This record gives sequence, C-alpha cells and structure tokens, in this order.
Amino acid sequence: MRSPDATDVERIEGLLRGMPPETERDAQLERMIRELRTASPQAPREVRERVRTLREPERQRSLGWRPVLVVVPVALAFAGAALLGRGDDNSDQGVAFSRERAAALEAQPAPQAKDAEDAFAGPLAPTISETARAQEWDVSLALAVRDNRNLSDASAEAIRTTRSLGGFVVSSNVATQGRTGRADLVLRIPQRRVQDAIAQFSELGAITGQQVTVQDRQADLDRLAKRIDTLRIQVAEIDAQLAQGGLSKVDRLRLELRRQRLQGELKQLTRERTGIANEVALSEFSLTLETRRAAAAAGDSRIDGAVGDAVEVLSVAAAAGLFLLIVLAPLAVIAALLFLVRRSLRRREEERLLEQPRPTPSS
Amino acid sequence: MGRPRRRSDVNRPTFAGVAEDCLDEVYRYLLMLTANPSLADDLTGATFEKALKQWRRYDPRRAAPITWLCSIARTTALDHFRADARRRRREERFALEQPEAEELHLAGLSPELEAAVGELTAAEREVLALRVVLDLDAESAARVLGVSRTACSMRLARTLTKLEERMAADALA
Repeated sequence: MRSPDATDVERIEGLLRGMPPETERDAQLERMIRELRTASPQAPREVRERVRTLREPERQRSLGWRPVLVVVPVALAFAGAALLGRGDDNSDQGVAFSRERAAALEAQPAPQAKDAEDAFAGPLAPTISETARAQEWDVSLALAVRDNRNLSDASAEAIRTTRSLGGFVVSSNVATQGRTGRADLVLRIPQRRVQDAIAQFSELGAITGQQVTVQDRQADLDRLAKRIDTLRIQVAEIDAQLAQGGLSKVDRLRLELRRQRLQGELKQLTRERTGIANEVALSEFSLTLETRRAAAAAGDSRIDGAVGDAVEVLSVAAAAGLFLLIVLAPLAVIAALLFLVRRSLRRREEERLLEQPRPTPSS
Repeated sequence: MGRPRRRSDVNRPTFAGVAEDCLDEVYRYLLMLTANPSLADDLTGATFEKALKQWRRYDPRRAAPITWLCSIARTTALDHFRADARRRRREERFALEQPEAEELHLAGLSPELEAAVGELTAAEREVLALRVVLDLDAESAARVLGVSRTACSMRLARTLTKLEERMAADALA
C-alpha cells in the first residue's frame, strides 16, 4: 500500500471540507466520501426505544461546596477572636467594677489552700482571710489613665492612699515620653487593708490587668513556733542543770556550749519568724499606671502577638508540608510512572484490539 | 424541569434532547467500529446508559455532545472488545470455533465500497466513521481517539488510500 504524504493529507482534508476535486484520483476519493456520508443507517427502533426510556435523574439538592463559604470565614473569625481576645481585657469595666468587687470580696469565704497562686484577668480576687491564718499577699494591678496629667495625679493619689492606709512606698518610677507615660509603684500595704487598697486604686483608672498571689505562711509560723518552744525548753533545762552544783568542769563546759548553740538557733528562728510575720503583716502591691495610648500600644503588641502566632503556625505547617513532600515525593514519582506505564500499556492494548482483522463472514 | 440553578445550566442541553439528536450518529459510529449490526445495537444502548450516569459531569463548554458521546461509545466498545478477546482465548483453550461475523450492512453503500470497508481494521473504520461518516473536525476526532490531530489526519489519509486501492483492485478484478 502506498503511504500517504503530507500533500495527500492536505488534499483529503480539503475534500472533507468540500473543496472540488482537481484530479481523477481526487474525484474517486470525493465519490467515496460522499457515498460514505450519504449511507446513513438509522438506529433500529428497539435501540431508539431503549434510549428513550432513559430518564435524566432529578438533580438532588445538595449544598456542594457552598457551605465552605460560610463555615470557613466563621471558623476564621472565631480563631481570630480567640487569638485577639487571649489575655486580659477589663478596660471596659473600668472604675465601676472596683467597688462592686471590693464588696464581693468581703462576702466571699476565706481561701483555705495552703499555697494559692491566682493569676487572673477577671474581676475576681481572693478575700483576705478573716481567720487567724497568716497569709502573704502579693497584688499586681495595671491601670490605664487618660493622659500624662492624669498619670501624674493618679500616681500622687496612689502614694497618698498608701500612706493613709498605713503603708509605705517601696519604690516609685514615673516616666513620660511625648503623650505616653508609665508609672511603676511598689507599695507595702497592711494586710488587713488590702481590700481597701484594691478598691481605692481601682478608682484611679481603668483596670487593664491584675494578679493576686496568696501564699499561706501559717504552716511555716507553726513550725517555727514549735521549734522555738522546744529550743526554749531545752535552754531552760540546761539552765536548771547549770544552776545545780556538783558538775565537773568538763560537763559544765559541755552544757554551756550546747546552750550557746541552742541560743543561736533560737535567735535565728525568732528572726525568721519575725520576717515572716512582717511579710504577712504588709502585703506587697505592684501598681502600674499607663496612659491609654501606651495601653493601646500594648494592645497592638497583642495583635503583633497574634500575627506572630499565625506565622508560627504557618511555619510549622510549612515544615510539616515539606516533610510530607520529602517523604511522599518518591512515592508520587513512582505512582506517576506507574500511571504512565499503565496508560501506555492500555493504549497499546487498545491499538492491538482495534488492529485485529474483522472475522470473515460465512458466505 | 426546574429552574436552572447555575449559570451554565441556562445553555445546558437536556439528556433527552442530546440522546434524540445524537442517537443515529452514535449508532453509525459503533456500526462502523464494530462492523457488527447487532453488537452496534447493544453497544449503542449501553453507551447511552453510561452517558446518563455521567451526564452531570458533562460540560458543554469542553466538547460537543457528539464528541463526548463518541468517547463514551469508544470506551464501551473497547471494554466489549477486551471481554470478547478474553472469551475467545478461553474458547481457543477449549478448541471451540470462533463465532462467525455478521454481514456488514451499511445502507446506501455500493457492494464494492462495502466490501472494501469490511476489509479495514476496526481502527481504520473508526477514523472513517468519525471523520467521514459523522463529519467531525480533526480536533474532535483526535480527542475521541486519544491521539494528536496530525496522527488522526494521517490515519484517515492512510485509511482512505487503502480503501481507494482496494476499490481499484476490485474494479480491475
């Protein structure tokens, strides 16, 4: 059989498009094409009926991908709110909160935990124990004030309040820069006046954060008292022995040395007990006052933190993705090769099937 | 018929309409491909059943209905050929005779042309069916065949040349 060349292909394409034949051979081809096209067998009636019975199914109402448009933004909004809302935010409660809380604090029962550390942002603080238990209180309070003038007034007021409550100022640091400012005050307030202090300081500005740490020191004091009592008894016993006569010089010296050691230990424990008692008697109060602009900057840093968290999450996801890529890439290459090989084999098989000669009909 | 739900639904034909329009063409294609009228009947029905199942995936913007249906018809026919080849291998193992082919009957063809067409392979009859009988353009036919446009045109030219030579040989005889 003669192999067709590019000219034959173009010629045949032209004839198919309806171009007139130029040669006798073209005319022959054109006749063949026309004959093939005019021979138009119709599908038998049975086939037509069979196809007509096929009904297009009613499209089921499915939501498809559309819910994603709602669910994803809502989920993102929740995630964003969770990130941004993390940490404290009591600024809207402001001054009004303080008095109510002070009243609530007084109504609450005393904390019974041995060591209780309560770091919180909400309007809640443990009450001062009405029992005789010794507790060490550390209170941190952060307040936002309107401007530097208010900052200065509030700082002065805080110092005045501290003195009026019978406390004193350990340190005071007030710094302003431009329209922002910050004051850090470390105060000692008698423990019995802590609630009053919280109430009065809260009126100086809007609360932006607070932390109250309560540590029960009663066990320490009890232990020290017991030990001190024991030591005193031992000293008294030694004194009684020394007061009696008939002791050898060596025995007397031994008792005196022992008494000396016991006295030293007694003094140290007494000092320790006094220190604890002082700690318990005076609560440490860290008061931070900031202008709103500075507080807002802190809020911005919270947004920065959220962005940082998001970047961190993305970087972790990227690392995980890279890991998966490294692990899965060879498998993907193998899968792609298998797919190509399979497709090639399938094509070859199809060609073989279609190249088979038609069985000769019996005559 | 409900209100169209998507913009693409507006111009989307119905399955019944497409089946009515393309039934004869699909039948002709399968008749040429299989060279077996009763087999073409069965495969035509099977093709439309398969098409109905896949109808929701059909995108009118990507291919004309006849191109899409011919692709399904081709897959259906190839599946049949595969199954048939397996069956024949089994039968050969048990020394059974091959079933004889039915007469190729294309209405309106001269006996010479019909005989010449009958001597072609299925692949050659297929390209003849797509390009000449159904008058698909080279691109659509190539898409159905899964080959390039050039390969499709070359296959058609080779087939027509072969057909022409057979006709000439018959005329001389």
